[in-house]
Parts: sequence; C-alpha cells; structure tokens
Amino acid sequence: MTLTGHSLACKRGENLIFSEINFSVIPGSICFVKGPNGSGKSTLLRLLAGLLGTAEGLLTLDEIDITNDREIRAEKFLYLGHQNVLKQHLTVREQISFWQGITKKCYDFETDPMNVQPILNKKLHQCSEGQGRRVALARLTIEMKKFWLLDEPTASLDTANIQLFKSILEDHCSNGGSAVIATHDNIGIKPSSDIHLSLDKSSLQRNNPFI
Amino acid sequence: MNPLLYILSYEIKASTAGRSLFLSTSFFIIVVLTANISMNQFGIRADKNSVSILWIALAMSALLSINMIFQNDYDDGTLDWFMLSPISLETIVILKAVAHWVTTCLPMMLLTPIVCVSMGINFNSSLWILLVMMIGTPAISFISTIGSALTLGERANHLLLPIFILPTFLPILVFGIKISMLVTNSVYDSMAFLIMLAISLFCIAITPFITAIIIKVHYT
Repeated sequence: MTLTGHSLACKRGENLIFSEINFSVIPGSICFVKGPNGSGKSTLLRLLAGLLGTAEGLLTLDEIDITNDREIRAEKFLYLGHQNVLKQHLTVREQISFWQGITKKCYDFETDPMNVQPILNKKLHQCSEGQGRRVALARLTIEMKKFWLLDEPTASLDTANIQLFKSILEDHCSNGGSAVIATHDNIGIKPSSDIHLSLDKSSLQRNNPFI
Repeated sequence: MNPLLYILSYEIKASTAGRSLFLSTSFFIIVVLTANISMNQFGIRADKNSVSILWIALAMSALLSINMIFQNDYDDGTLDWFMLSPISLETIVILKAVAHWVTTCLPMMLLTPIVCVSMGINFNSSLWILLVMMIGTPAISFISTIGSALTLGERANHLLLPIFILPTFLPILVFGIKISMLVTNSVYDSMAFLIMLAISLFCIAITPFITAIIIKVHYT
C-alpha cells in the first residue's frame, strides 16, 4: 500500500504554510520530514492525519483519492503528535488496558517492546516526560495501523529508549508498515525518502527517489 | 464490551481520578450552607422558598467543571484522537456529556436530600426535588458541552464560560425552581413536569450536533 502526496499545500487563514509537497511512501519504508523550526513539519503531519484540510493537492493510497476520506484514514493511519494522549490521573496500566479494550488488541507484556513494565502502577503525572513518551509509543504497538505519522517521537527519550523505539519501528517496517516521521534526533535508521520543508516558501524543494 | 462503553468508563475514570468530583460537590454544599447561614443572619428564615439556592448552587457547581469537558482532552491530544477515530464526533459529545453528568451532577443530586435538611425541607419533598433534578440536570450537562467547545484553546476561558453559559441554564433553572417550590408546598403539577422534561429532551437532542459542529470549526 503506497501513500502518495501530489503537490500538497496547506493554508492557515491567509498564510501559506507550505505548497508543492510531493512524496510517496511505499510499504516497509520510512519517510523523514526535515526542516527548520516553524517550517510546517507538524502541520504536514496533521494534514496527512486528516486533522487539517488540504488547500491544494491530492493524497492517494494505491491510486485511490483519500484526501477527504475519514474512514480509510481512521483505519490505516495512526497519528501521534507532540501530546502523548495520556490522562494525567490514570495509571499506566489503566491507560494501556483502555487502548487494549478499544482496539481489541493486546500489548505484548512478555517482550514489553517499550519497557513499560517497571512503571505500570505509576500515575501518568508521576511519570517523567520520557516515561510518558514511552507509554505513548507503546500505543503504536497495540493499534497495529499500517501508517504511522509521528511528530517528534523521540522527544525527551534517552539513548536506550531511542534504541527501543528504533526496534519497534524496524519491526513495523518488516511487517509491511510505513512511517512518516518528523524528527531532529538521530534515530539511527536510514530513511528511504525525505520530505524537505523550508522556511522560505519560494524555494520549496523536493528530494524523493520515488518521483 | 462495546468500544463506546470503554470510552465512557475511561472518561468517568479519568475525571474522577482528577479529584474534580470532590471539588464541585463540596462547592455545592458550601454554597448552599453559606447561603442558608447568611440568610438566617438577616432574620429571613431559610425555608422551603429558599429552594432556589439549591438550583443556583447546582448550576454554579456544574460550571466549575465545564472546562474540564474538552479542555483537558484538547491539551493532552485526546481530542485529536477522537477526531481521527471512526466513532462520530456527535457520539463522543454524548459520551462526554453523560460522563460529566455522572461525575458532577449525580453526586450533587445524591447529596440533595441531606442538604435539604438544612433548609427545613422534609424528606418526602426532597425526594421530589431529586426527581426534578433528575429531569433537569442532563440538560445542564449537555448545554455545558457547547460552552466547553466554544472556549476550546481559549486561555481566558475560566472567566468567559460562566458569563455566557449561565444564562443558557435559565429555562431549566426557572422550571426547576418553580416545580421544586410547588412540591415543597405539596402541589404536584404534572404539566410543569412535562414541560421541563420537554425542555430537557430538546437540549439533549440538539446539543450534540451543535457541539460537534463547533469542534469541527475549531479544527478547520
């Protein structure tokens, strides 16, 4: 299943955030969104997830236009933004069992890919930023969606936990999943393609081997 | 279990764990008791006619937790998640309103027979007041979702909300207070009950759509 963007553009009010974004993400590949702060990386991910409307361009999944298709996106995409989607007063265990219940899938406590076992009984507001992020990333392994749209997934993670994230990402890709990731950190994975965003709207460049 | 029930129990758990339950219920008791005591100071005996205090205290305590309905979800990203989930936003709003009712209005209602004692209302009448509240409070919860959605992301929402949401409670308050006064005087007017039920059901029927539209507008 290939996700392709055809000259995507996004406007907030009168401001053009970006335009002429072309990319394609084939199964099992990772696409990094690169660019300086304020160049619209988060906006692009929110647009791909369907939280923002597309001003111009098309988003297709295997040649099928999904630019305005909520159901397909809900089924295939998993968006994780800056926020962790965690309730501060619940314990990690309650949070994970909620996701398990709603998706009817299980978190693999045996292998514990995001190492949440030690903090299971902690409340989220007692967890550190990095621990919270780990729990948020654990959701990725529960929901099992084809496309991951991740905004700074490794923010506040230490090197050991970045390695954990790297391994779930590699697992995901070897199972035919793909990911679009905006990050400044060095995860240690070579992306198969990049989307470059720049602050200067006149020179929006593209660098994609698939186009 | 149905995913909707999961979301509902999750919502209830998340808001009760946040101690907001304790906050609005104790606010309710404090307002009622303070009003009763201060009225006694001026020589006006707090009696069954002061039942309106009960309703005003109820509305104000419900206001306290209004911004919890969507603001927390907005801050922690849960609202994004709801927006992207296959469940329609209208359904989410209904679940939110039900969770708000269970965590804020229900505990206050259950305490009503106890605080009624401080007003000299007999137990039988207080049960009738409880019934009237049972009819009226769901509408309060549902209307609250509109206010919460309107002030989404608005930093000054703590002050803004009461100003324009409290007046929208008026139809419920007017009928609630009137019927409560009647039942404490042992007058049971079934027509008034029915009109109040109609107002309440009307609010419940239309608010999910309005709130969902407001949230969608906020996102575009």
